[in-house]
Amino acid sequence: CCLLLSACGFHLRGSADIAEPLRQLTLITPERSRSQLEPVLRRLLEANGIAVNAGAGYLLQIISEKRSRREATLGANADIDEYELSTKVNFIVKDPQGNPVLQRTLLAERTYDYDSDKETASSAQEAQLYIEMDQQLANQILRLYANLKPATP
Amino acid sequence: GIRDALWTCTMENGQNWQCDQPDRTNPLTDQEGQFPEAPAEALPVTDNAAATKTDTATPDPAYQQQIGGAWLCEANASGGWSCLDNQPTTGAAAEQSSRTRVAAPADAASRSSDLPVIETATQKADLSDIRYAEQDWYPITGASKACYGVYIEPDSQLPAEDDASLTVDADSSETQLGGLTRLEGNVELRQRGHFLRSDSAEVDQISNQITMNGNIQYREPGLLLRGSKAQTNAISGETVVSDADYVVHERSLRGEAKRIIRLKDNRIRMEHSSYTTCPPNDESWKIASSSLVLDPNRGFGTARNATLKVADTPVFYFPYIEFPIDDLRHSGFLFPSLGYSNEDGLELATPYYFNLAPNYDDTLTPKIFTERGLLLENEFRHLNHYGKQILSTGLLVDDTQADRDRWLVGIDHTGSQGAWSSLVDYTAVSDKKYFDDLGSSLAVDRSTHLDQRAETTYTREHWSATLRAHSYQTINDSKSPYQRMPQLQVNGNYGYKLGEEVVFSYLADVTRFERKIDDLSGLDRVTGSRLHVQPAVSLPMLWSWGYLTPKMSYWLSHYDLQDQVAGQDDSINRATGVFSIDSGLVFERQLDNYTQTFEPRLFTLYSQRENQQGIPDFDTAEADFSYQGLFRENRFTGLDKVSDNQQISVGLSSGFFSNDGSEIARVGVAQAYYFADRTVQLNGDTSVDTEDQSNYAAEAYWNPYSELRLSVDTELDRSGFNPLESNFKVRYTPSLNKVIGFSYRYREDVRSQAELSFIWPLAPEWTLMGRWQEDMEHSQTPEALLGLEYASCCWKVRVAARKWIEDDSGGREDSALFLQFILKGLGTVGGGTSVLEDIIGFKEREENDDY
Repeated sequence: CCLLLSACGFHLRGSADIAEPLRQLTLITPERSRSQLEPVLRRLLEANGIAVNAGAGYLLQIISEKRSRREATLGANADIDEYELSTKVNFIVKDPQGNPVLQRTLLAERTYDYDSDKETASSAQEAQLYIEMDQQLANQILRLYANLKPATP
Repeated sequence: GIRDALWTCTMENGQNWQCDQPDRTNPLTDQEGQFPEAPAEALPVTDNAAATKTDTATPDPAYQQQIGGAWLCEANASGGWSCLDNQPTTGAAAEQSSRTRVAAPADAASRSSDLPVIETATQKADLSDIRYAEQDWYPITGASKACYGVYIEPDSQLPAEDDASLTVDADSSETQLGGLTRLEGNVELRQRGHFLRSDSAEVDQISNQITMNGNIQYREPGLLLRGSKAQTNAISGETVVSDADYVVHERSLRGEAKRIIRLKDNRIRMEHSSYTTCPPNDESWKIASSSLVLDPNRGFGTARNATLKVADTPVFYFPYIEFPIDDLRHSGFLFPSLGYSNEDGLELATPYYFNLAPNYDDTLTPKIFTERGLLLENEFRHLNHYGKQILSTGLLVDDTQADRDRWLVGIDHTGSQGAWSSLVDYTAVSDKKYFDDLGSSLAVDRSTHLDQRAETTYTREHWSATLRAHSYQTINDSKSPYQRMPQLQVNGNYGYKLGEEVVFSYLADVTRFERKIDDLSGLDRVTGSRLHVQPAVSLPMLWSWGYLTPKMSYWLSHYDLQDQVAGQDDSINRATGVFSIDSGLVFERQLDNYTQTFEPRLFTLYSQRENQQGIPDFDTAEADFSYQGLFRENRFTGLDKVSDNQQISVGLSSGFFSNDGSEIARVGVAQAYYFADRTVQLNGDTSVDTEDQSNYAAEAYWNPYSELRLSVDTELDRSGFNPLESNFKVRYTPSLNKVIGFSYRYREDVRSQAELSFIWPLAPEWTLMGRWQEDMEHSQTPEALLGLEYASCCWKVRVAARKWIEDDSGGREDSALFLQFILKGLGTVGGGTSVLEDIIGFKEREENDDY
């Protein structure tokens, strides 16, 4: 299997170290509402060797974080058959000089079967899907952040 | 707050038209100023004249009040104020909350900077086209918008506001005996922040009156007046321009007047004037009034005896009308709405907006239904350092149709401070038909439960605790849901370095589940409390080329149940161990412009078997089959069931990344192999899953450009690779004004449903929009909506036809025609657009620009 892979040019990923200046990060979240993404992102950043301190070097700001739900499909009686959940996060990264170096809007979506006779279970399921979506978004943010190329001083 | 006016006419089932019409009858007290007074003291015409400085209390346009918690509001297209709380916490983000201005093209670009394509970036004013340059109007090039021009103030050489000295320039001057000076050729006056020019002028140095003739131009910040003759007082600054026209740049407002008087308190009073937001040479509509006052101090314009003329034909008469000339909020009547329907009779709503403080306001809407009574709706919004809260109420005492009181209470709150955060989402109504009877006739809200939820969370670095009460009001015939009254949940996560890092985590959950059991039977009647503790230890090992995470968790639960079914215990203990190893490798290869990864994943799961039949499904359901689902520790959601899976899941996934780390595409396929039957099932489901392998879950995602996203996921039969479930989705979003979404969702014998949604401009002025849902499984069309919009620079009209199936109606089809007029810059009656809001991208388009 591995022989086949290497024939196609694949190799195990080498140590793609995160550049040293990126290893200090300030994380800022929207005010007046709890960021659901923040703890997930913080844990992921720290697990990848990035120290998240207030006041340190690079700045990652979650500008907005919006969860929404819409009817995806309807049943025979025009009742809700499936809901589509989406989380949209807009963030910006600034270098230590305050210049924006990255700004993105990322979107994660999930669809699930809805049963109006089991509203409580649906709500627990939604909560779990939203957590998984946050993990997906945090991974994408990490990937984009780790790819930044800091200007060499 | 009035900016856009619209009439909304609807025809339901071809029966009767229902119209909302602007009809403004709101005689507020007159606050007009006095006619210019005679000058008080003499003033020599010199460069350094000594004069008293008039008090100019113009509001600071920077509008800094949002600091520390103030609603950041703009007049919106639906009649009220769209308010944001200023979200970012630090000065670093101050530009995000700075007030957006309307006209400048550069601003429009920055406003939509996070949107996929910035169409406005190409909009540059063409300053070489000087056809209407005299009115500061310049065409915009490269715009696909209906509005093809913009008012731009010239880089002004206006004198400073506090510079009282009067400067006069002219080609030649001649002073006569008796203090009369004649000026000829390009006469220019500058004083106290304003500028006046004419072909000729006479200055009376005794009365300080300056009489100017020919090609008058008067400028002050944000304002241009032009005319044939003018008189100005060198001391007070009062200026009268005759046979005039004017431009208010910020509001794109222009008009004509027989006389325009610029009062010394900065107000502009006009006689026999008109105003319109239409560009020069466009007379689509205007408001003619006998008297009109623009008050920059209050941010208001007021007109009396006003007639709305559309294409020069009088359409409406307003004894009194107010309209904003800046984005500052102020108290006043919002546009009333008038409607008619067979059931409710005549319906008249007159919302009143109270601008109470920068951080709170209130809108009171009395709504008269002649066949029902008086409905009082109120919305109070409040914002502070901690959070934001909105209290909505509605009360209709003694509805003569329903023969009862109708009411609504809604509370919406989110807040956070330090480690604490809280949330309240509470709606209660008097009866199930409240929204159907008293809500908008066209909005179809299919939701079946109203949330009644309050929670507070305390978050520390390694743990968080949430206390929650969550119940529902059911407004259809669904079973009454379980209510969490209350729930306490504590999550912890600690890492210890023992060679590799060991992560210890736990979940503790105590919940009391209640439900209205009157109409229920059997298992459905069981209520009770649950204590659940779930400690877990894992050893995550992370390398750049892969990961390996062994994890062990233990599910310990205790239930105390009431109304338990026969043969099951009231008190149940459960103790189940779950052991898993998640592992993956990451291979990589560099292609021309991107990196491709190949990521095999192996997930091993062993869960102890535990009979859980006596445990009710309080918050538990079986998760839908999906790629992600094959790698979960439990195939159930919620905490009432732990699956007894003994399985290995294999996933093969490949991603394509551009050089900046963006994921462009991903494809993956996964399957699980089972080593034991799955006997644990939801209650009422006695079948045991005996297959020794799962179906295939496959997913693919492609994002070739930021505008285009495609995704597909499917469940393939394990034996024949037949698709059992397939979901496709395409979204093409080249700009705010061009959005196409298509999706198709299929599950064998369950559903086969397609949805098409689009907003697409046919020409700069014409936009086609619509939404179509087709249910092939039941051979019906749950929703079909087609709308056409024509938008000029200063007005637009929308026609929409809609056919839909009402929920809870046994499949009854309903249809409506819908007509809407909008005169930009005039005012609004709300509610009319809700029918279009289900179109993907419509809300964003409305919020971000007025196409």
